Amino acid sequence: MLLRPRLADLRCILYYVGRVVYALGVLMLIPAAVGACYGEWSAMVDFLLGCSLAVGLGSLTSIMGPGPIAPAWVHGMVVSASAWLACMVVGCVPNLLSGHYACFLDACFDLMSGYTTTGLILIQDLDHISHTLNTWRHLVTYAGGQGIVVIALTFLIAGGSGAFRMYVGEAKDERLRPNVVGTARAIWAISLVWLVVGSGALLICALGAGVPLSRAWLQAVWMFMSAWSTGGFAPYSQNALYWHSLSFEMVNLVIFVAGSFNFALHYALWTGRRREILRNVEIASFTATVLVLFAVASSAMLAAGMYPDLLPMLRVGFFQLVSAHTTTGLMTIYGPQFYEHWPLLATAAVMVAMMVGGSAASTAGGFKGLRVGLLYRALVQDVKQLLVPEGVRTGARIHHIDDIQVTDRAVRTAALVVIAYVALFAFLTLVACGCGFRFDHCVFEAASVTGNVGLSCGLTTPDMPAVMKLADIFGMWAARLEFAAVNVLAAFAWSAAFGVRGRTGAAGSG
Amino acid sequence: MSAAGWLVWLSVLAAPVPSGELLAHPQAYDGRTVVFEGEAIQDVMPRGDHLWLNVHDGANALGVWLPAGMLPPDTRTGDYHQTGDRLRVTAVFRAACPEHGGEVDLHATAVERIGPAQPTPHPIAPSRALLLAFCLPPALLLATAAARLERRRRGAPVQPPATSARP
Repeated sequence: MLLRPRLADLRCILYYVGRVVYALGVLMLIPAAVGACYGEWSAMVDFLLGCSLAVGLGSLTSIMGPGPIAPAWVHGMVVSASAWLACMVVGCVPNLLSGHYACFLDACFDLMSGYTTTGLILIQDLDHISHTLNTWRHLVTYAGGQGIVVIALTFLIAGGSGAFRMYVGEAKDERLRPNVVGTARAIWAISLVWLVVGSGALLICALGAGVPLSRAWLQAVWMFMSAWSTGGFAPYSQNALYWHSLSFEMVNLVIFVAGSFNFALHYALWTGRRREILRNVEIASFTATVLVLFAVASSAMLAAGMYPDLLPMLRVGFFQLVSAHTTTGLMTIYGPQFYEHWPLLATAAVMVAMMVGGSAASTAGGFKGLRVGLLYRALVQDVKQLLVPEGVRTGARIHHIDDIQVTDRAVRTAALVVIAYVALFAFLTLVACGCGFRFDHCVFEAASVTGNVGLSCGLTTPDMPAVMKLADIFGMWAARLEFAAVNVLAAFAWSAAFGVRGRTGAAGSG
Repeated sequence: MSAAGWLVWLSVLAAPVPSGELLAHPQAYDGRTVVFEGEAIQDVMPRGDHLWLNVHDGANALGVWLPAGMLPPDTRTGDYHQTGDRLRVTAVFRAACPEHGGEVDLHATAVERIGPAQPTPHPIAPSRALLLAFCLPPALLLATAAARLERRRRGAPVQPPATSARP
């Protein structure tokens, strides 16, 4: 029996969603500043309008809100899920005003794609957009990769158990420091250090590629943000191929592989526990699946005689496979090549890589290496249990920062999330097939959305039906939040509509 | 074949091939000389005595590798402020270029400017400026009021959770 939420619950949720929207408005000042620097006054006005809307709404909800209140688990989950939707609607205002989107839905699609670090795009005439808009697009993936709620936690929300519940609602549960605000700030500190080092390396490569300094530094920062967040956005329509530079691509590869690792692993390395990189189950799982899938893809490419020798196959094939596996989505080939040029087995390997994904509590999507490693160990344990004498109990552990026992509950939780991903994948494939597209293209694009990857075989265009755009927006959002917060939001909405009224006069009521 | 037939055949040969056609049938065009037309976009990237130029035909942008001296003088590329020169590129198409690490590209044998760059003005719309003048001050006022309220609230004791989750 579900109880109908009270006004106090709604005010609490509205307060925290408003804080996140406020933080988004403050973020919009960064592209506005870029617009002022480059004389893109019209674009700057668009972002100031967006900022006014976000800051105004966020401030209003704060004034109307209940004050400092510790949200319960349901509030934290609903805030996380709702905040992403609110930020999508408010954040797309400058995009829509730019004139590069056919409709509001397309602008929402790109914002959700950025926040969820997917990377699929519906923007039109990408090669003629302003530096202002390009800065926003890449900043959105950088912020989304860390977590929009994490941003608000870092600067605008007091810590405590309530903050932790919102943090978990964003599909993060790693505690780098004793309190969640400290953890959020540690995540930002790691990301900002990488920003300086990674952008510097990309700047050197861009200069070497022949791009003048006045443009190279912006391109380096944009591409760093996209690669580190495993987002897959690029400032130009040719994506990572634009620079025709092996060094630029390889530096990007290092950045997005690092970005796909768990933040707790980064923190462990920072604090001197360097052996973690050898012991961690996600690194082991990632390495194993990359090697196996690359062996499959490269065998198919060699048999088809696609590339003249090893270096092109490594540069193109390995890059695409790792881009898929880390769920980055940066491309050094054109979308149609996945089916018109690549052998089907190689494309299938890329699809499997997209679904498996990167590390838990990182910027990556997909099933996550931790779950793959956990389910594999559980399978091995079950087989061992059958082979040992009756009455003997076997156990299994995996190492992920600490040693974790492979319990039935852990296996069940991992399996349920994997099943949810597969169900989402099936749903998106059916929607696309129902719109009349080729089955193999539908499967590829559905895998890309489900894994928050962003590789496209050419199906995702502004001309695709609205029902597919809506389904993809839902898919990107649900997959990024790993379903829990979305399920709680749905249950909360159901209880608001059909729930039973509880007793009045309880503590904290409006 | 008659002279007219030869002329028709030559005109077909000289017709530009769309990027979509090249990408849909890369093996069929690999190593063949094609004509590709489009707008020069963004950066001209010098690499020694050659350079990279990206040309967009409305559907896709392809990378063109050409000797530096082959680029028409004062070529202007497209960006936020202008559409770039329209170029007609005669080039050898590579589906997996052995010289450039397996990427799809065009090795130019001739480049001709067929259309000039055009400025793309982006004036501030008066309606938006007016809207900003109306929205920004209240937003700043609300933000100031909210900040003061939050500072006062931070000193207050934290209330217990407000939840309906009770039997």
